Amino acid sequence: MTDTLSWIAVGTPAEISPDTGTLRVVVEGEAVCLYKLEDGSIHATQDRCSHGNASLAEGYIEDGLIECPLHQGCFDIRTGEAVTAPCKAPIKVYPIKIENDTIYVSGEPA
Amino acid sequence: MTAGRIIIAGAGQAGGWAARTLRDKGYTGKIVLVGAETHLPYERPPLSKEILLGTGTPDELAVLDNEALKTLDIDIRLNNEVVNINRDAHSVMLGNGEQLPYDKLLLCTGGRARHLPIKGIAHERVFTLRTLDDALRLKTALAGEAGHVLVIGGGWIGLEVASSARQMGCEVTLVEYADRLCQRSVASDISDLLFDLHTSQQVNIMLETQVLDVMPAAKGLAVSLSNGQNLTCTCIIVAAGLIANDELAQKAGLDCNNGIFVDGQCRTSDPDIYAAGDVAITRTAPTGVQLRLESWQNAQDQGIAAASAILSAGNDYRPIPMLWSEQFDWRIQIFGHVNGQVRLALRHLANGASLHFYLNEDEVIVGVIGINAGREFRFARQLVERAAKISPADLLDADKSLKQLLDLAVVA
Repeated sequence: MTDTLSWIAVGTPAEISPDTGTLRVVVEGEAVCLYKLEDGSIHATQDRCSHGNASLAEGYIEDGLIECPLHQGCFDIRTGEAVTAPCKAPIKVYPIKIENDTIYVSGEPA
Repeated sequence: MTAGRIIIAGAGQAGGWAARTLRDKGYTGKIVLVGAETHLPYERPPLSKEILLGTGTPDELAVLDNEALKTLDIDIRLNNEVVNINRDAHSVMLGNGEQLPYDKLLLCTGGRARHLPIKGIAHERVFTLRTLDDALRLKTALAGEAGHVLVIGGGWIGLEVASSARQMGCEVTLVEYADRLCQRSVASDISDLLFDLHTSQQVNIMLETQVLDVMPAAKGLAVSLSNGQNLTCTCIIVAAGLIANDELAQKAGLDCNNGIFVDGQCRTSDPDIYAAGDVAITRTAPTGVQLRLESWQNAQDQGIAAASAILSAGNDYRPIPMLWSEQFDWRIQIFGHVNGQVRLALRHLANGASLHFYLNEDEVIVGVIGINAGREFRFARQLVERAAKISPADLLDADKSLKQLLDLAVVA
């Protein structure tokens, strides 16, 4: 990551629901989903599924994948790659950084 | 399998996913995908909702676009169809007279909207809804003037069209011949909720009512009903269910009964001919009851399963039925067998959402319906998948999360 990215503070790690592992936030008008995985790492992708009109923050995390609540298609949270049908197009992945217990998301997808 | 030719008859969602899957799994022979419509394979669920409402575009429905067809090297024949199968010669004839040999043939011929034998019903202001072209025609009719729409049929398509037409500003009357909505697919508790939802949105529902005849009138159509009422409407939508396109298979002597019987490998009674999607009659889990599954989920999953089985026999495809519907601000999700069970356990969730669990006589969960249940539906679905045995009291206990219940579940 370079310093030329513009970083936007979106919340704290504690705000990511321990129950769902997700938090929906808005970054420059775009819905973004934050994830906290079992290894404690934090990631960010676009919140809208690339297949249907569904919020991935409502979805289910398993083995580093987010399963869409609507049609059960899965994406790799780290890369955004579509892994299972019906999803074909990848989702955007956003760079994040954590400073002083605050999560920052770059407005520009990786 | 060595390089040969696989022909897929029917270029809908099942056919599209089958073609893609053959390549994904390494098949290098020729793939010919034959579709009766003029459109590339697309998903149908948005036709009754996003397409009518204008919140979605036809492009967004694509299962395979031109770029994917080229990359995957799929020979697509649109506006054409397989009209005859010569099983002995392993060849098919297309509508344009062309003869093509096959090693394996996959039938994904789907179905067509049922027409009703009503006097006067053949009229340019009477519509059915199955294809993208149907949806675009209907959209034009509904958007043209905010008139009075009569929907015949209170199943999923009828209710979704009623919902869309109301949201487009139309007055809507819906007639259903049975004594409740969605009678074939859900238990009466859900029928009653659907009735209340639509009534609250000013859909005028008449149950146990049929249309007797239709006459052209000054501003549309004059309709007389079996309950003695007459009404005038600007258009009629007949949503009276689906007829399986199994005539091709019947003519070829395959086992059929309003659909084509397949085994767990999606094979018909001819081992080189397979079937998938709306046209296939499939053994479902857990009990093996044979059903024709008219759902988005099955079209996709069975298309994939059939393609996989064609290349190498694997685990049987034995799905638990799953479907969803969207009406007004409700998203209704159904998993498992939810009609005719002995016991219902209703769990209320936040914000008016709910989960309706259906239990058999052994208190095993055999089905669930979620209304705006969001991610909670996933856990509910897993309870059905595991045939979990949980007391209704626990299911209703808001202090126990579904995830906890899943961990505690006694697997039947």
